[in-house]
Amino acid sequence: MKPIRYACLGLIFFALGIGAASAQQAPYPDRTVKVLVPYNPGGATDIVARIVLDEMRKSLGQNFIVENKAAAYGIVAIEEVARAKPDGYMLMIGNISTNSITPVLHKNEMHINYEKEIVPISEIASISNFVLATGAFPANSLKEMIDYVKAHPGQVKYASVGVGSYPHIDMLMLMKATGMDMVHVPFAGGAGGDLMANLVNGDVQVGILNVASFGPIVRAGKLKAFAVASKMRQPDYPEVPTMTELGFPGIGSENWQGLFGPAGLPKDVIATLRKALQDALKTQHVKDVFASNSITAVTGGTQEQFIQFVRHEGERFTETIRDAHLVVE
Amino acid sequence: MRHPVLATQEFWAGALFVALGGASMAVARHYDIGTTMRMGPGYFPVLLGAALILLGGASCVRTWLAGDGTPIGPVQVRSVLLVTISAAGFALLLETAGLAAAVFATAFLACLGGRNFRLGESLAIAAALVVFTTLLFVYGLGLSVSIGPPGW
Amino acid sequence: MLHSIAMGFGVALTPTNFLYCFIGAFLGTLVGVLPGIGPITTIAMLLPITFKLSPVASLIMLSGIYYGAHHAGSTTAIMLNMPGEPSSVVICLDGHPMARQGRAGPALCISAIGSFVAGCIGVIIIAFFAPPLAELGLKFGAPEYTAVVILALAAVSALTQRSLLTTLATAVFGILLGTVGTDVNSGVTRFDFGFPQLYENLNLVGLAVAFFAFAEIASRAGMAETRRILDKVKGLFPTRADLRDSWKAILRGTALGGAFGILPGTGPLISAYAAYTVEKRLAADPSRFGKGAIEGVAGPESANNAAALTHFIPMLTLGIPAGPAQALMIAALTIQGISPGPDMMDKHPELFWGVIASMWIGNMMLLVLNLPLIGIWIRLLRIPYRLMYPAILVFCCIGVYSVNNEVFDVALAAGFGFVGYVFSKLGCSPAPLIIGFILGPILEVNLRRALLLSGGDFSIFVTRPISLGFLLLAAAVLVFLSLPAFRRTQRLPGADLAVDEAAED
Repeated sequence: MKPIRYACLGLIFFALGIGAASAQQAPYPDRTVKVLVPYNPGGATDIVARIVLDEMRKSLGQNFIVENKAAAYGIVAIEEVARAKPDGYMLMIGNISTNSITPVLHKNEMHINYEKEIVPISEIASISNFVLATGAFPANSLKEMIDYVKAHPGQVKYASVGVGSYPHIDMLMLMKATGMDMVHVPFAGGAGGDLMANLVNGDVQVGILNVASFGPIVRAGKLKAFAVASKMRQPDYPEVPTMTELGFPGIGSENWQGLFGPAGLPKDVIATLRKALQDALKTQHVKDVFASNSITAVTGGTQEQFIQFVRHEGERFTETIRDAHLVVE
Repeated sequence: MRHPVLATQEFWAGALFVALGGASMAVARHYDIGTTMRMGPGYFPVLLGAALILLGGASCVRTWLAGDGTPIGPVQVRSVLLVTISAAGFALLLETAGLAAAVFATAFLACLGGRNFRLGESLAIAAALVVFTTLLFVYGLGLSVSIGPPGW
Repeated sequence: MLHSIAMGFGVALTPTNFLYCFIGAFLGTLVGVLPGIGPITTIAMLLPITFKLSPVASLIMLSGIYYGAHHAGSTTAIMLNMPGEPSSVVICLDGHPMARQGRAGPALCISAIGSFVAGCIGVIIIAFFAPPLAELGLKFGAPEYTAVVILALAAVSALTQRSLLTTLATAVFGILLGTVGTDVNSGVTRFDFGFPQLYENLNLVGLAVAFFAFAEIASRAGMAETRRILDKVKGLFPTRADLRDSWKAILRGTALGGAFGILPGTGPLISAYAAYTVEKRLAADPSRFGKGAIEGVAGPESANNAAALTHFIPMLTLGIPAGPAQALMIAALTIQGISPGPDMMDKHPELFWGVIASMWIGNMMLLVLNLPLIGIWIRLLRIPYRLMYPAILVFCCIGVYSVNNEVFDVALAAGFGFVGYVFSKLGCSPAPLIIGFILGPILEVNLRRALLLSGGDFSIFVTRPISLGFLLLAAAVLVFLSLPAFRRTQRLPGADLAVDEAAED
């Protein structure tokens, strides 16, 4: 080939090389990030995701769009994220149910190895749960409720948002620790009035359910709250004691949400995401919304701590799930 | 005009339902049936499958006894296959090749299934739809799909 | 009370809120015409925008989208035999035949008028009876729901076409399809064949699209162009006879819709369906139904709209969402820092009354929006089918995909479309299937739950008054419908078109 051709080729390669190098230099994120939410729009996790991602969009300058993929207890979303390229443009915001319980309960149905392929990035927020009873229930404290149930074995009914959901498993743990015997009445999870109506009118008598949705009904006097499962008393409901105070430190879950991604994410991407998330949680708007809805932001901590936390949550449920033969074949 | 039983809708509908009912019962029989008072997950499906077999069977018998029924109309095999394939094609192409390719293929295949297929017209329809759907769904409504192959 | 209503109007009529009401109604109409992309998807997409609006404006706009889409669902039902909303399924039955007889104009017009009247009355119901109705709604537990659904299913034979057995079997098959997915009471997944996408129930939009749209396209695409619709457009407005026939249906429908709409979940569908059955039963000549009886459009449409309004009652009075759209609206309020609950009426009266007033305004806007559109819709019908159906197919595919962002749903819809074609060739109409699909699971879940609550005791269904009432009604309906005058068979749209064509020649 003539020398001039060699020169042109060389220039082209040189330019490409510079281009490639600068592409690598481009700060993350440099285009839209897709965040999967394994719930239909409107649920607690979805709301938290949308508010926080909106703030992150402002601080990082790129769009973070929510894609709702509500199928299969989160399995579909988890698998999609696991298979994605670990470049930080496909993430998911999941919660205790999808990212701690599902991997245990539905281990045999997932086509990926959850532990190895999904990496927790940061915790975002958590919503506590009340131990609730219908307004007409003949008890006014957790102890009275336990006594009543033990005096009427098999007659009191408790609600949950589905077989294998954390309200179900939590109640199983509480029943085991106290010797209560109650009938489980599962309801379809998600938004919709069925569970609330049944609890309020007394067809179902008790349940461990979230503060955000059920708190206002307690306020209105139609439901009673005997205990709250969180580290400290809820600021909006200071009269409700914590499970720890009442002597049940390990029982009762908080519905926490967290950001997750595929394994192998570069360290700087993780750092950027964590910082943006923490900043978002500190903005006034997010604080206001969380405060008025009993959502607690979780700030501080390290990624390693979150990873341990997620793993520990899964372990917490494993024994109860096994005892209750809930694992799906 | 009397039609032979085997050419009537009612007979074949009945037969279809018997088959569907039987299939459901076969699958559902593996689920725990439980008792009437504490129904398991298999109870309803088995019950429904049985109901289908009964209803389907009754339809067949009734048609047989009457010796007459409604005739089945002409079947356009090509249209049916192409419409089904074009919709299935959309599912296949959307996430692998992007919205533009999926819409184009679906629209074109659908036109192929039509009675009077005209190449120029079909290409025009397909192209117009690509533009329109991209504008409406991606830019207008914010649907999260990639227009071209992912990563483009 | 009057003072509150006045305040409500004051809030609703501010220029900003009025504008958002219009935007909502307009968007809702636009979106309701598109299969699959329904009010829920739209509300979800617009949720971020509501961050920047005031709570009142957000709620007004979102509600506008909701009932705008509801109404537009009937438009597609009439024009294309494609229900835009589950509750529009019933409108297909007589609305589409009317369109094919060239009477799309009167059908659409009556549907708009009926909706408006129902809306006005519905708003009055909400304003005056919201709290007691909400309390009543709360009393509906599992046994009551079971009874209501039994009543609804007992009326399925009202949808009979050529063969009663076929209709029943189709409905049973629909119920069977409804069992696909996770069984709530046991957590076991049924009929999933190993696909995780099938752990939740089958996608309703997918099924509706498959059995109505795909099946029809599959059979019509290959047929010669028909010129009937183009030639016989008989005027845009209803005749005096139409109006005379419809007004009672409208009132009855409104009453039914207003009552049933309070029930979380399927209120609007059951209302539309009940209205249809009632109209058919009360008509002098029931055999007209299924062929374009205008009461079959007026009644269900009014019921639909009244129910859409009363569907808001649990949300406004108790903070309990009756359906996913309301849940989204609660989310919108939550993001604004307002927690809807039983005290919303007291703590945020301007929100409560403002929304109610805007419902009335929204209804009027829909009337204003939709009447002129009728002319446009009719003109659209004149487009040769071979140009339209690829577009419909594409829109349907996108719509089905958009529900869950899942291509599997589209593939499944394609498969069911084929099944739907076979069904229509064999004389099975899709309407009973869809109704069975929606109602069946509700029946099963609530029946089993009721037994769980009563400890296996069947008497719970008759010891609770509301439940007993509905069961008696169901028995009455069965008796009525089996009377000889009713057993005449008629034809339903969706049944084989080719045979229809052959018969007409």
